Amino acid sequence: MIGKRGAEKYLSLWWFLVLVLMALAVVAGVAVNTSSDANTREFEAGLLMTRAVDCLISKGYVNEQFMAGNFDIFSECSLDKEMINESAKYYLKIEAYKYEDCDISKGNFECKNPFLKKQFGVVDFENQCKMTGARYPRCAERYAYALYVQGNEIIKTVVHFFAGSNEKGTRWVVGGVM
Amino acid sequence: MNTRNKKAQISATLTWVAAFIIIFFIMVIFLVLAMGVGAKKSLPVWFEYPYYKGAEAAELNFNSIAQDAFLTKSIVGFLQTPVEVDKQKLTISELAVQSKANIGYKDIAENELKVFFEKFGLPNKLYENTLNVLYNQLRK
Repeated sequence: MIGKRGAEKYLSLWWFLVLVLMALAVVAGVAVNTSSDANTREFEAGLLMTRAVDCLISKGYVNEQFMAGNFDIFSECSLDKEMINESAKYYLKIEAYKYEDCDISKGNFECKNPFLKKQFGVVDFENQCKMTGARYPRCAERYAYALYVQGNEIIKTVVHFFAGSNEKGTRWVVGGVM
Repeated sequence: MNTRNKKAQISATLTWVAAFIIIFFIMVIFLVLAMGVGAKKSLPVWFEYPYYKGAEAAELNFNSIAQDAFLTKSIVGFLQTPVEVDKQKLTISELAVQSKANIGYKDIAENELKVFFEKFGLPNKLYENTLNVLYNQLRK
């Protein structure tokens, strides 16, 4: 009877150690995972561009009001004006070139002399995006071919979309927001 | 009797020692994996924005291109582009649709489309699919 109790003590010590080890590992694993950043900046820049292209080009034609300058991109494209212009976290540039002013080869575009240029948000993101480092914004750019009606003339255009984001997201640690 | 009991207890304790060592290593592997996933600091591949990179488009499948707003809008825009043929202005899609009656239109439409697709670095499969839509669906 006495020997049995002693054996149970040894057994419960190892069993207890295993439980503690598992608990510590689970807590450490969760802490490591939840305290790391999720980088969504490039994805956000892409989304911003896609929202703009969806709104500005329809059935192959660029929105005439936008080209004429009578277009509120924020209300028409459901973009948050305050967030883009004042949060210092976003940048959106839209340029329109004549098709003839673009040298296009295998999906690479080299365009000059834009006849329309609109910028929203932090303009310096264009330079900052060239830097490497976690604190710099991430940008994305795309080109789209579209037509533009000016009077009775149909002009072939290439629209350049450039967007940047420096929304780092929230860093979570166990127990709350850091 | 006591000796027999002791043997059983020793073996049970040894089982737990072995179990502890095994579980310890499993936990170390778990922590290393968790740190690896945490350190990646980026979204998994399936969540990535379908980013088009010129010639690499050949490796993309048709569905990812169809979901790409920039490419689909560019193609739609190009199909609306007017071309002067026989002293009249027709769009590329009109040329393709009317090519059954006028075989010359077919060559013009296909040539214009091919040049456009090559410039934009779009894959041949997409060119064939676009022609297929123009010839078989728009004519109906």
